[in-house]
Amino acid sequence: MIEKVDGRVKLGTSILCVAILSTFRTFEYLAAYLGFYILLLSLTGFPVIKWMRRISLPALFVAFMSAAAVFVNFWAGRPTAAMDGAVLFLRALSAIVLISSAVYSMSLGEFLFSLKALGFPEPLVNLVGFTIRYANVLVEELSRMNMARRARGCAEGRSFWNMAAMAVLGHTVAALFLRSYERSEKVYRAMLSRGYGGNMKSLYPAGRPKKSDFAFGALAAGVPLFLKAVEMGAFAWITR
Amino acid sequence: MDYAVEVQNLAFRYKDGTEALRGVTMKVRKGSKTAILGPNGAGKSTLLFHLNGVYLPQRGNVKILGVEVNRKTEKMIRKMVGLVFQDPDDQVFSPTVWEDVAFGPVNFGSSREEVELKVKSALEAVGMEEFAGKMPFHLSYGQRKRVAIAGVLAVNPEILLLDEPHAFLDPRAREDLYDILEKENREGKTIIVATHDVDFAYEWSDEIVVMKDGRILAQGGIEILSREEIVEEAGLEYPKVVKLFKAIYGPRAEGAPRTIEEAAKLLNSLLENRTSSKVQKE
Ligand SMILES: Nc1ncnc2c1ncn2[C@@H]1O[C@H](COP(=O)(O)OP(=O)(O)OP(=O)(O)O)[C@@H](O)[C@H]1O
Ligand SMILES: [Mg+2]
Repeated sequence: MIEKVDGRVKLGTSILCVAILSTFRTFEYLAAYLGFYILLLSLTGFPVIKWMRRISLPALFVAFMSAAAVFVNFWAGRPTAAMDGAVLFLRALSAIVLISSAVYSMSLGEFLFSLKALGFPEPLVNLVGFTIRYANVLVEELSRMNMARRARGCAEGRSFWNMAAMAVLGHTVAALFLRSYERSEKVYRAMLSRGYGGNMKSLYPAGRPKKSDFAFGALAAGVPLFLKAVEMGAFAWITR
Repeated sequence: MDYAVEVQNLAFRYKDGTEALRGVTMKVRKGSKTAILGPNGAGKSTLLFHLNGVYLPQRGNVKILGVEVNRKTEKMIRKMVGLVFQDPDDQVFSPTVWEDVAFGPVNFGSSREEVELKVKSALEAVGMEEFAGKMPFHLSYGQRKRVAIAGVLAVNPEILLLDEPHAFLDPRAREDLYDILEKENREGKTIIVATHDVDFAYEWSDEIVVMKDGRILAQGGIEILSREEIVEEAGLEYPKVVKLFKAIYGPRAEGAPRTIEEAAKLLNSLLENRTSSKVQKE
């Protein structure tokens, strides 16, 4: 269902929601929103499991960073360190969740077009496009090199403290960048040969988003707005 | 006569100093089927990059359908000339097969509906329509090769260049490719194929170009593939049919038939003649 929504609306709404959520101060409201959002996704038939597997790495990274923040704050003697860290974690996590779920069902072309339509400057959009293509090349090269290495009898270093494994890792990274550089040059040539001329053309002529798209956007952005209002005490007369 | 490609004294040196082309001169007729043969490193791929305007001549010049290739015309040239790269991994770079095949048509300004049609028919032509949503990296090499071919067919260029299109294709896909090339040629397209497959070149081409060390060693009809001095010097081998005829008739077996079928027919009729003359004698 979510994949039918106009890409611009999806991306715009997610960015808006992230902005609103980043002002939340209470753990409960953030958690409530995240729970609600993920529930909504699974109810609309979004491939939640697959998507979660995809975002597990960035989520882990965010968790790690938040833990580090807790540690530092605790050291500095702030009593609310743990809670602050938890809120920080949920804010960052919700950013990942919102943006990635919006982008998940989009093709690269649609994503780039949506960015442009939302007023991101053209050079930035091109850069993003290149980066994504380049990242693909990087990942491919890496797995190819790993395969070649394994085929020639090199066991993957399980331990980070194993010196030999570290040396291999170092060489891999160096070779990876050299090879990726060469590949990216070739990819650039391939793009030229099929008519690329400096900016990404896009398939998505600016057909207007439909009313249903806007309805989706209003609903998706309305919930965090409502929660924010609650958090700010707009309904204090009820909750009191 | 109308030429699709005219190359005059073309030279090209790579950044590291390798002289890949050292004065190439050749012409390709419009609507013809040309095969470029030659050992590894002869300069075939480098030459093809020039015909598509991805490389510009450092010396000499290249004309495509009468238009000289230079900085001003390169974009127009790329629309007229489609190039299928030797290594599909260099050519196929989008996150999905569909997007990759759409890349050319989108860049050349087709509308959404046109693009959808073009991509669909190109993927059908190479038998990859069910893979449209897949990541190219997860395909087999031969499948990626087919996607690369589809990416160029989708642009529908006047001149088709294919660098080693047969490598890694299974027998069925080779046959399909043969049919695709025949069909495109019937529609009036000029087709140039760089290949190591002498049998394909012998059966399919109107014109053969043999390269070595950045130069043209010979250009002419398919009969040059049965000339010993050329085959020797370029490190090629005789096509199978030619081998058979050389084995039967000795070294001066020119004018051998082009295909196994033709050869079989010829041999059959010879055998029949022999038996019937035997019958007459008795
Ligand atoms: N990017 C490059 N940088 C430097 N030298 C190169 C580069 N690409 C090719 N060469 C060199 O240029 C020469 C011609 O290469 P080219 O790829 O055109 O040969 P080819 O005829 O296509 O060979 P193959 O049959 O192996 O595909 C070779 O000597 C090669 O080593
Ligand atoms: Mg080559």
